[in-house]
Amino acid sequence: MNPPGPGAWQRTSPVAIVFFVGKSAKWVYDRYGMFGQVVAAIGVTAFLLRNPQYTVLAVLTALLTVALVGGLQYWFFRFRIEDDRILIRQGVVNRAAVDLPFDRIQGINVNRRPIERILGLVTVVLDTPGSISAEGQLPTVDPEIAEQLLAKVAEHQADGPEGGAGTARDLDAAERDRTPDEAEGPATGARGDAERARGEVLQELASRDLFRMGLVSRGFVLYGLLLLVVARQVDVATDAALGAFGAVRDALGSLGALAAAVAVAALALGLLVVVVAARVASAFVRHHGYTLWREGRSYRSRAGLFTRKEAVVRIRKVQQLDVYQGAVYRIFGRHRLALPPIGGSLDADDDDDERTRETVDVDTLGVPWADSALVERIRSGVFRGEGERLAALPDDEAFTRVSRLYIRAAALRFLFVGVPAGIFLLFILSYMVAASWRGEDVDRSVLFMHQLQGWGAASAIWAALSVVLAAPVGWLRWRATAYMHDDDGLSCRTGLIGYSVEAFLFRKAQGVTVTQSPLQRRHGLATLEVETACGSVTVPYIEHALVCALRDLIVYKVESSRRRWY
Amino acid sequence: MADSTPVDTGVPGMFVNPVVPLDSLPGTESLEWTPLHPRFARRLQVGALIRAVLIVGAWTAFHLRVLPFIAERLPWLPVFAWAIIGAFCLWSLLWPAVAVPRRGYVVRDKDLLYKSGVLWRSVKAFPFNRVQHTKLDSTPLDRRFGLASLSVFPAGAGAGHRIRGLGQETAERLRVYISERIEADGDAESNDTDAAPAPAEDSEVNSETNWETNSEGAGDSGQ
Repeated sequence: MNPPGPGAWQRTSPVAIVFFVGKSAKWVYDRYGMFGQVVAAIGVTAFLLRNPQYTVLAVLTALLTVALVGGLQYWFFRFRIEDDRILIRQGVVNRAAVDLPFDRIQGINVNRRPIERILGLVTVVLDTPGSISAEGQLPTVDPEIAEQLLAKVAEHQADGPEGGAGTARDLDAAERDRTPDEAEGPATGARGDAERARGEVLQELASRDLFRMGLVSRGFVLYGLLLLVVARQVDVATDAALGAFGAVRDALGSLGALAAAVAVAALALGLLVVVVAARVASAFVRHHGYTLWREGRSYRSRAGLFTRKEAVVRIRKVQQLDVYQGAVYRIFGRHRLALPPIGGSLDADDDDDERTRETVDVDTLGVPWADSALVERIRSGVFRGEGERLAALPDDEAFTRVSRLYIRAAALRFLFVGVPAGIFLLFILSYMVAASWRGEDVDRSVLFMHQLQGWGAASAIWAALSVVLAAPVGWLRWRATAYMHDDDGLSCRTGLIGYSVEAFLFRKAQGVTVTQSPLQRRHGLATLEVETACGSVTVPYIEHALVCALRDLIVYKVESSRRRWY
Repeated sequence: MADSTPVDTGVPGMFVNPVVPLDSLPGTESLEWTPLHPRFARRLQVGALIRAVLIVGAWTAFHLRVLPFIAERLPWLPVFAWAIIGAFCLWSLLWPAVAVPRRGYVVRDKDLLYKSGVLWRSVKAFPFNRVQHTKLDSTPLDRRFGLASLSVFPAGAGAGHRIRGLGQETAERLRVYISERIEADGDAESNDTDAAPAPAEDSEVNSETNWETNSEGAGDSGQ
């Protein structure tokens, strides 16, 4: 542009109109693309079904295009590791240049797909705060490069006045020692030894733990869905092959109601076994060989049967500590832990800012199966020097319950949110049932009336059930909700049957909100909501004066702390 | 691990952390809240009126085309629906007059406070040194009334926090003020012992902008 002075408002080149048109097209696509894709897919499928000779051509063209584009992308992908940054050049038509200083790298994840394990290669994914995207990725590189990067980033970030550089050097040396080992491939045992020599191994999961994890994980939803599908299949099958099912039904009928109930129960039990087996298998696939260790000022974990995932999080960058203990976890005395870095739990739907969309797949370092001792250990590691007394275990005695009035509020919320939501869902359900009603001479309006009647009855039952359930639900919520704080941080427990604890340091807060409902105002109570960079922590129904004091303290800590929050 | 022990304990000698008595901290009770722009309630009402006209129009069309078939069997349904729509429109016309006077903001040296709510009252505090960037926006209707909205974005908070109904000039002044504050804090932080060396701040900015252009480019090449 011809410069009209540095301070003046300028237009970009008129060619940018293409960019802006593209941007608005992308906006439309992001919102309504799904619909278009479905319509296009149906249209194309219909066309290809009618003209099978084009199918071969289409498939061939597609394969060729994919291969060509892939080849070109490989050819144009370059990267260079410098002393303080990594540069990546890629793109065929649109060249893209990523310039990523090591300061900005929040974590380095090393993934291994099965084929990479065979070839002894790894994929390196670089996390940066605020904007993570696919560009910070080095596919199928030599493990040595990954190690080199890890060492350089560690060295660079440890370059502080605290004498961390020495540590980094040591780590560096250790990394180099490990490299030949690594290059050999998935020799887990040998690598485990090398790790133990290098860092402090906090946890290694055995098969027994994996089996229990499979039992714990939330298979119920899947179970319900499977039941639904099977029930539906049975229904369809009776229509199609009445003969076979008729025989079964006759047999069941002749056995009597009890036997029929037993048969149904057996079927349900069989399904349950299948689901549990599937969950256990998936726990094995995901967490096989899980190792968690501490290395200098980072936690690292590695796990996976086929795809070996490695996650690294620097303690300084941890924004809050999340501990979850579901009902079944409690039986086993275990917890699930997460150390989310910035943007770790953003909603994908937060519109407006395209960059936030991509923040979603930030890797959070998770500890899926931690006993109390390990939780305590990680807690003291994360909150070392500050917030030493923050509670992380759900059954910690330092927790103070919130006001009993919360029972009423939680029960009312359950009623006012749960009942309309349930009624709405029931309407959709009744519509789906009515829509699946097949038959030639069904009067649509009669069907609609049936649907409305069914919906009304179901809604009434749901509302009555909610009224009965509201008080217990409110009480359970109140029982779960508790908080504790010290001078540096706050820890809050919430839940219904399972408990989850969120703890954070005041200086990592991003914003504070104090809310008062009419009920709270009458009793001098308030709700504190603290926003952190990876979510928010809400403490309901505590004294208004305390809430205000905490708010002022948080704002003070945020402003006065001279330590970096990220 | 032995070698990590001295690393985590902050900066010896440089980092002092005296205990602060809670009562001595500045509170928010005695603050003078700045109200929103006086025309904001009127602007919301005009918006509600436009919306009401659209809703009533759409429902009238529905009433004439589709409803007769349903109304044969459910004679109460049209009355019920009209009652709900009427109540909603009336509510959204009257509510701004109640709600807007209860909103307000305070700009303090270190943070921005925003209060809102009639029954459920809330006070939000955004410390300036956690604000990543700010945004001004205004709809055509806003501009007719000389209003603008200011959004502040802390890290990771997705859509950010929006203060609607500021006068255009006030909003612009606030935006500039917050930007300056962010900058001042950034400078202060780069002089810190615990922060990264000073060049890092610059490269941070650079990489941020590069990143932006990159993701655009890659998005296009993918299609």
